[in-house]
Amino acid sequence: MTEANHTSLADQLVSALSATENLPFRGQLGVHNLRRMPLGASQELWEFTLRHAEGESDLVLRRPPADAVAAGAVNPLGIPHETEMLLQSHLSDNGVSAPRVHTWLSSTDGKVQGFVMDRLTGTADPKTLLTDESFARCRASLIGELAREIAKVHTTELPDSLRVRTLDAASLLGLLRQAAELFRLRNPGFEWAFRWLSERVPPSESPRLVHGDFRLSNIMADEQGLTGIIDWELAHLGDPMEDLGWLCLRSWRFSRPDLPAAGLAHRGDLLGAYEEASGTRVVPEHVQFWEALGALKWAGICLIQYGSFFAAKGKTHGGIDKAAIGRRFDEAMGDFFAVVDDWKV
Amino acid sequence: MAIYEAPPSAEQIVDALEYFLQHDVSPELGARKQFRCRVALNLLGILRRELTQRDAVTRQQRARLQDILGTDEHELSRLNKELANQIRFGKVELDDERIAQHVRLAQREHLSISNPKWLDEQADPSLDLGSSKRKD
Repeated sequence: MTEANHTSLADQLVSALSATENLPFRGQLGVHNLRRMPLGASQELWEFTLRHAEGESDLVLRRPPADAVAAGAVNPLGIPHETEMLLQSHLSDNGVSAPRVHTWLSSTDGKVQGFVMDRLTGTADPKTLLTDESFARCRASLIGELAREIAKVHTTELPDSLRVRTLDAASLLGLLRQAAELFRLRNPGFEWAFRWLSERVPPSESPRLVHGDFRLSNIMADEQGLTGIIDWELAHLGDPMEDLGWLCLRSWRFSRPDLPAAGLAHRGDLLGAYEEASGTRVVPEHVQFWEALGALKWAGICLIQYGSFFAAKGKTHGGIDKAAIGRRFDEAMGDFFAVVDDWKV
Repeated sequence: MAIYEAPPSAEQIVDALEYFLQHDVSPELGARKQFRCRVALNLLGILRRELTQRDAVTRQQRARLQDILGTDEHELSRLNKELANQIRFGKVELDDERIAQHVRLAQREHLSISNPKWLDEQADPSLDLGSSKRKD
């Protein structure tokens, strides 16, 4: 990104913010320190300081990468960018710790092409959260805070105007089957896992709002504790236990594979705090089911990532990343069997 | 097969590539490309283990699959396809001892090539922080 592009993005931000009514920022607005953040796998994140009559505010622009927009790329599990913005807005208006949305940028055809929100304090870096000395106090209480916050998400009602799709265990299994067919996977371990899950789908209850990618990389926390949940792109209606199971996946425990609940605590700590916050009873086997399905879903993502790359492009730039993620299929399958054989509260 | 007896062996070529990336290429790179260079080195590690272990893994899996399926089919991919289909279409029980054991053993054999550290961590949680998904 060149200097000139930076300037024009800053101008776009100033004009969008100036044209928005009822913002908490008054007076002459100025965008400073605009910088691309080294985060965000599927979306770009730009942080900047907004100067206004009362002082300065730290804000973030979240937008789909220009090349993805041009290519019409969509994440098959994701919600449209505009829906994500409306959902996040609705959540922060209803007491969930999600960054407050202020305004959006539109393309010439009027589509939402990025939205501007508060920059939460703290970090989304799991390594810092799990190992940094100054986060010791935060770590001690974080799993409880995560349980309470995700329980709030699961009880949030959506207005009729806000449509997100329903994605339950059966439909996720259906998507995994499609991926396996598409890439002609003939893997006895995968089939064993698929059947184990198919035989244990929990009875469906009325679907609730689910974050869909609830793990340390998608929360912000500072030394005092949780500051919010970010990245709502994969939100859907489904089984709340999906979020609890996904949070426990081995792949997101980083330096602490011995602590299943996000590398922070034992599963029992998470489930106990969740039961207390939500007033519901958690069936441990259902959490185990979702953790196992999470592992197989992660295996499917690895398969799709390298499979679609090599099918479409073969030997081109970026192949080493795809080859590496393809081999992580084996880790995900290892996670699956560990969940089946060694799972305990 | 004299050609394979002449140096350098496939493993020696992997050694040479590894040394080159680590000592000649990596120091010249910026942080972002250095990360990708580490990815490349990891892939070379997989290649090295594939070279040294693949034959043994193939032999073991073939023998187990032939036993489970009661066939003398030799081609591993056909054997895998057959067992995959039998599991998928309910022709065998999930808790069939030999099958349940085979899928787990095969999994560990694949991991011993793709990421042996994962197997170590099962018993001994190490402090490796680089192994999980990196947002880039």
